[in-house]
Amino acid sequence: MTHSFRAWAVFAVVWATALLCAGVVQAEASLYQRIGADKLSAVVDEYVDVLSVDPRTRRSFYRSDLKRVKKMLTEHLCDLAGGPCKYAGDSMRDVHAGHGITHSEFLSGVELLRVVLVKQQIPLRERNELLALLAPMKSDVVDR
Amino acid sequence: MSASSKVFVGGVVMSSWLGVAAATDVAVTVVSGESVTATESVIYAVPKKSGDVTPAPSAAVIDQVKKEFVPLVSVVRTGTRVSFPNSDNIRHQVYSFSPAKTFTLKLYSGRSSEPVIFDKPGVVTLGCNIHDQMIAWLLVVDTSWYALPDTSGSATLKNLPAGDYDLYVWHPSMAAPVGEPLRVDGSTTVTKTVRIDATSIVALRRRVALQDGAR
Repeated sequence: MTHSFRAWAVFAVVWATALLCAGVVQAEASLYQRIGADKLSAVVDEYVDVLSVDPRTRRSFYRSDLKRVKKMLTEHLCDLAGGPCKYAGDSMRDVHAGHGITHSEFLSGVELLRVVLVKQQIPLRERNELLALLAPMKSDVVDR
Repeated sequence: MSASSKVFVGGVVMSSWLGVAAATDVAVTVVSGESVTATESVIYAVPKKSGDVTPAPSAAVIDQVKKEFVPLVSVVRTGTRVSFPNSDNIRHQVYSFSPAKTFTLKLYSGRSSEPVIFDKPGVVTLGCNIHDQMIAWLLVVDTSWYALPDTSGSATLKNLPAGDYDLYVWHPSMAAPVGEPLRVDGSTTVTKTVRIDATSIVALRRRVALQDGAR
């Protein structure tokens, strides 16, 4: 084997590996696909049920149409997680305005979601990705 | 059924002979098995011949207070502009699927909204998309003689010119208003009794909640 042929072979292998890696990245499923539509619905279902009865968070759900909350939240999460949905509801600021949600109520809401995600057996990576999508909404949810 | 009660409407026509044209106040008393049912009803008179001196339709207000509509029952004349000021500082989404007026109105904290014009007579049932227990009723009538009974069940239709009318009573539990002839004559006193079945709003809402739960 000549020296130049060896160099070429190494170059080719590197290229092939790079292309393969790029292909893998491109083909990786969205968070929505990895969680799955049914699982996401199950998470939202349980989460809204828990949020609306837990003494730390139920106040804001008094007299609310929970079926609608579930529908809108599912749509919103599907959209955020790269699913096929387009969230058409109000902004998070408008949704939460006037409810006077405190910092501790928000943290309770996050904690309840963590529990539901674990209970629904969502893997750690997906749990973290989902929470990371929601974290920036804090300033719109909590009353300033 | 305890929630259902008979409502009697007794009308007394009192002539008012002050002024040039004969105008009569019709004092109506809604009598019901439940006092709340009487106060939830609407009374109005429609002239058989057009004799209604159409005054400019007024404005009305249906507010949102602590996730309730206030008032729960309203009556307006066709063409009236109704505003929904939203005294709550949270958002509401008022809607109606009623044929007389179909609309959705998004109400946000600190933002005013345009009034809704009710241009067709009929019953309008109002709900809120966000808070499914909120419900209110608006009766749109094609006459300027209408009134809501007070806590004693009394309502007065003022300044009716002499002539023949239909006197109607309506309650949210009734599919349609029930009417009977009313003759207004400056020199006579007329007593009317209309019998209807009415279910109180509290019982009506409980029924709606049960239907929702079964869905």
